Amino acid sequence: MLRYTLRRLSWLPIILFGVSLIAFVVLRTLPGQDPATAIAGQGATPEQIQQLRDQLGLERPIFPISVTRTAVVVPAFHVHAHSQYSEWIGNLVRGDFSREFYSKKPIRDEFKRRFFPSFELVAMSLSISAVIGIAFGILSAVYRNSWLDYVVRLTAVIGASVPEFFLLTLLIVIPSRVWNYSMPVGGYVAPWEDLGRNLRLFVPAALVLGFAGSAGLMRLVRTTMLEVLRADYVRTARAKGLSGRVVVLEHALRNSATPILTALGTSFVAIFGGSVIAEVILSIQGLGLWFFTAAQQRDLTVIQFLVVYTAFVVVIVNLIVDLSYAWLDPRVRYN
Amino acid sequence: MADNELGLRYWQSGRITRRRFLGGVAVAGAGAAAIGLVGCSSGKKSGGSSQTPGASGTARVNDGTQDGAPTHLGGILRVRQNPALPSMNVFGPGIFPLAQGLFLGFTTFDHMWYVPTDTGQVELFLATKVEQPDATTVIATLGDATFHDKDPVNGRAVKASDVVASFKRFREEVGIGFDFLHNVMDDIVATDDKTVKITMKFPWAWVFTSSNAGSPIYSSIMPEEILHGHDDLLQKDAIGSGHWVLDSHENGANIKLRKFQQFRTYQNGKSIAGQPYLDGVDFKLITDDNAALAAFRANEIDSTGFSNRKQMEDTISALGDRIRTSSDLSRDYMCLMIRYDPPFNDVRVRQAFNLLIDRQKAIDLLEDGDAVKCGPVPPAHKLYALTEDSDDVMKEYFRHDVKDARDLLTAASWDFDSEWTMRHSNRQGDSDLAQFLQAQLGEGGVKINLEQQDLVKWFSQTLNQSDFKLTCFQHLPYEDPDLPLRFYLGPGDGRTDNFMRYQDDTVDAAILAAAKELDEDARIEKTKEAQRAVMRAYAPMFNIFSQISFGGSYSYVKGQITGRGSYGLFNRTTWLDKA
Repeated sequence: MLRYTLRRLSWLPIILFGVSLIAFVVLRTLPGQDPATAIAGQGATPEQIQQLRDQLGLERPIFPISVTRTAVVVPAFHVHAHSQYSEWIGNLVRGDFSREFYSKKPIRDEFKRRFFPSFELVAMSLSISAVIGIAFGILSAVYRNSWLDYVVRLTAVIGASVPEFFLLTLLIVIPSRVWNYSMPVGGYVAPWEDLGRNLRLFVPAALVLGFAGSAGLMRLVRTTMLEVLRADYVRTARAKGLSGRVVVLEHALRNSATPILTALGTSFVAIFGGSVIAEVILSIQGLGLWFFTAAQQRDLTVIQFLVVYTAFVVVIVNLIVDLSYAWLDPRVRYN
Repeated sequence: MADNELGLRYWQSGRITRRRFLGGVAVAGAGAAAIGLVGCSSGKKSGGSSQTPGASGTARVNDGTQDGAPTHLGGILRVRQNPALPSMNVFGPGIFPLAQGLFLGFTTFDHMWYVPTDTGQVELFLATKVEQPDATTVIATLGDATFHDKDPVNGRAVKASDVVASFKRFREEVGIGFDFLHNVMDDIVATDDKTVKITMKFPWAWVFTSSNAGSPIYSSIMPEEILHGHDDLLQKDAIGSGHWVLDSHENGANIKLRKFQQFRTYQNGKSIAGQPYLDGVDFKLITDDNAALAAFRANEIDSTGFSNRKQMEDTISALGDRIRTSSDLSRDYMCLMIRYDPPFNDVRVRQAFNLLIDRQKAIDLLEDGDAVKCGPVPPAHKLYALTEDSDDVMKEYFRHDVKDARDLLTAASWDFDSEWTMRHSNRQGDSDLAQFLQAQLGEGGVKINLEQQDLVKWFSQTLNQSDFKLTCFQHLPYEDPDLPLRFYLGPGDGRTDNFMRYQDDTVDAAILAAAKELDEDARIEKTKEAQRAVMRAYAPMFNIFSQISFGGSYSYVKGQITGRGSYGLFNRTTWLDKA
C-alpha cells in the first residue's frame, strides 16, 4: 500500500507541472489577453505599456527554452536563464507563490485568509451531499417502487437538472420576500468567533450545494444497492435471522461502497466548482470569489496559482478515494 | 422470490402506481400555483415616505438639515460595497485606481474645495479663501487641519506642500484624454505653509469643478512623505485628513471607516464642529443584487439603491413606514459613439443615425419610462443643460424620422448591403442598449452586427484605444458639464485626440469659449451655445437618455444630502435616530 501511495504521489509533480505549463501558456498567449494593456488602459501610450511590460517581466521569454529555425532547417535551441515560467515555477516550488498584480499582497497570505471559508463550505456541502445521497439512496432502494422511492428519484432528477445559481438565488429571494430575512453579510466569521452567524451563512449554501451534489449520488446508491440486495449472500444473511438494518447497512451498503466512494470523489470536484458560484452570490471571501475576481481583473499570478492548487486538490482527492477502496474492501490490494 | 417474502418492505398497502404518483404530483403542483397566485404575504402595506421625480426628473434638494439637528450622535452606518477594491493605491496601476480613487476621495481624503452639481458654486473645504488675481491664477489659503494618526505621518499638520505634492503625484500618472492636470495646469506651488498657488496655461473657467482641480480623485490631499517609495503602504492603507479614517478592510472588501476625531471644524465659512455625526461607516461586500436587496429588507444594511421603480415600490409595500425612499435624476447617461472615419465623416450619415434613434422609445423600453432624454450635457446639470421644450436646436436633434434618415443615407451613397460592428461591454445596460440600437438602426436599413466584450477589455482596448467603428455605453456620472463636452473636443494645443478621433473647429471653438469664460452667467450661455454647436454638427457621440435612480434608507437614517450630485457621498451630516 505504501509503495502504491508513493508511486501515485510521484505522479503529482508531473501532473502539476503539466497543468501549470498549460495554464501559463494559455494565460500569456491568448489574443486580446495582454495583461499590460489591460492594466495600463486609460489611453496609455505604447511607451507606457512597454514600461509596464518591463516592470512585470512580460518582455522576458515565457519559457526557458525556445526554438527557432535556422536557414539550414535545423532548429536552434536557445536557453533562457530568466524566463517568466522558470522564475514563477522556481518560486512556487520554494513556497513563494508570488504577489497579486494590483494589491501586491503575497498570494500565500491571501490564500491562508481565504482557505478556511472555502474549506468549511466545501466540507459542509460534501457532508450534506453524502448524508442525503447515501441515506435517501438506501431508502429508495429498500422501498423500491413505493411513494418514497418515487419522491427520491424525482428529487434526484430535479437536483441534477436545476442549476445551482438558480437555487442559490431562490435561497436569497424567497426568505427575503416571505420573512424579510437575509443571510448575514459583511464578511466571514469563524465558527469559534460566532457559531450562530457562521452557521446562518454557511448552512443554507451548503444545503443547496449538498442537495445538488447528492442528486447523482442518490441514483447511484439506489442502483448499486438494488443490485447488491439481490445477491445470494444478502438472502443468506436474512435467512440467518439478521435484522433488516444490519443486512442493509453492514452487508449490502459495505459491498456497494466502492462505486459510492468514486461518486463522492466526483461529487467533491463538482461541489468544489459549485462553491465558486456560491461564494460569488453570497459574497463569501473564499478561494472561489478570489478566482472570480482575479479573472475579472486579469490578475494572472492569482489565476495561475489557483489553477495549480485546484489540480493539486483533485489529484489528492482521487488518491484518497483510491486508497479508501483498500480500506473498505479487503480484497483490494495495491502491490 | 418476491421482495415481500424477505420482509424488506414494511407496508404492503398503498403501493403507488406510476399513474397515481404522477397524478398526485399534478395536484400538488396546482396547489402550489394557487398559493403563489393568492400570495403568502400579509398583503400590501401602505406607507414609506417617498419623493419621486416626475418626468423632468427633478428631486428635492436636501442639504442635511431637513431632519433638524441631530438628536443622537454616533452609531455605525451600514452600506453595501460592490465590488471589492483591488487595492488602496489611488495611483495605479491602470484603470482600477478609479474605483479606490473615488471611494477614498469621498471618505479618507480631504480637498481644498468641492462644487456641488445643483449650485455650481464653490464650497470651501480645507481652503478658507480662494482668490483669482487673474484669469490663469488661483490662490488658495488653507485652514488648520491634521492628518490621521498613522505611521509615518502620525497626525501632523497639513501643509500647502502636501497639497502641491499630491497634485504633482497624480499628474505623474496617465490621464484620460484631455484633463486638467496634464493639459490645463501649468504649475502648482506652495508659497508658504498655508498658501497654494495654481497657474494655468490658459484661462479655464471650470478650474474648481469635480472634473478639474476639485476632482474627488485628483485633488485628494495626501501626506507628501508617503507619495513616493511607499508602494507597500499605499497598497493596503490610506492616510489622509478626511473625516473618515480607514480602520480595516479584508483585501479591499468589507471596509470599515471610523470618525476622525481631529477633523477640521470649518467649512465654507461655517462651523461644522462635531461632523461627521456618525462614529463610522461599515461597507459590507455584497456582490449579488438580489442579496443586497434581501440584506436591506432584513435590515442588515441601512440604505440601498433600487434597480427600478417597481423594486422600490415592492420594498415600500413590504416595509412600509420603516423606510424612506427617494429618486434622483442620474448624472450618468447612455450614448452611441461612432468613430469619425469614412463614411461617418459625412454629416448626412451622422444626422441619419441620430434621426434613427427614438430616444423616447429607448426610455420606455429600457427604463420603463424612468429616464429623461439627454443632449450633449446631461439634464441633471440643470444650470447648463438645454431642454427640448425651450430650444429648437435640441428639439430638432431629438427628432425621430426613419424616412428622413433613409433619404439622407441614400443621398450620402450609403452602402445598405454593408454590415457594421458595434462593440459593447458585457454590462447588462450596455448590452440592452446595443440590442435596442441595432433594431433602431435596422429600421433605417443599417445593418449592425453586435460584438460583446468583457468590460475590462472593452474599456482598456476598445474605448481607450479607439478600436471601434461603433460602440455604445453608459457614461460615468460627471459632476459638471465640462467633461461631457470635453468628449467632443478635438486635439490641439497639447490636447490628445478624443475617443472618436473627431475634430470640428466650430465645435472646439464653442467648447473652449465656454471653458474660458469666467463670468458665470456668460459661461452658462456659452455652454448652451457649445451644446448647440455639437448638435448642429451632429458630432459622433449621440447621447440618448439619463436614468432616474432610486434609493432607500431606513427612517432612522437622517440628515442625508440628496439632489446635490455626489456631495451626499461625504455623509458628514448623516446621523442615526436610534439609541
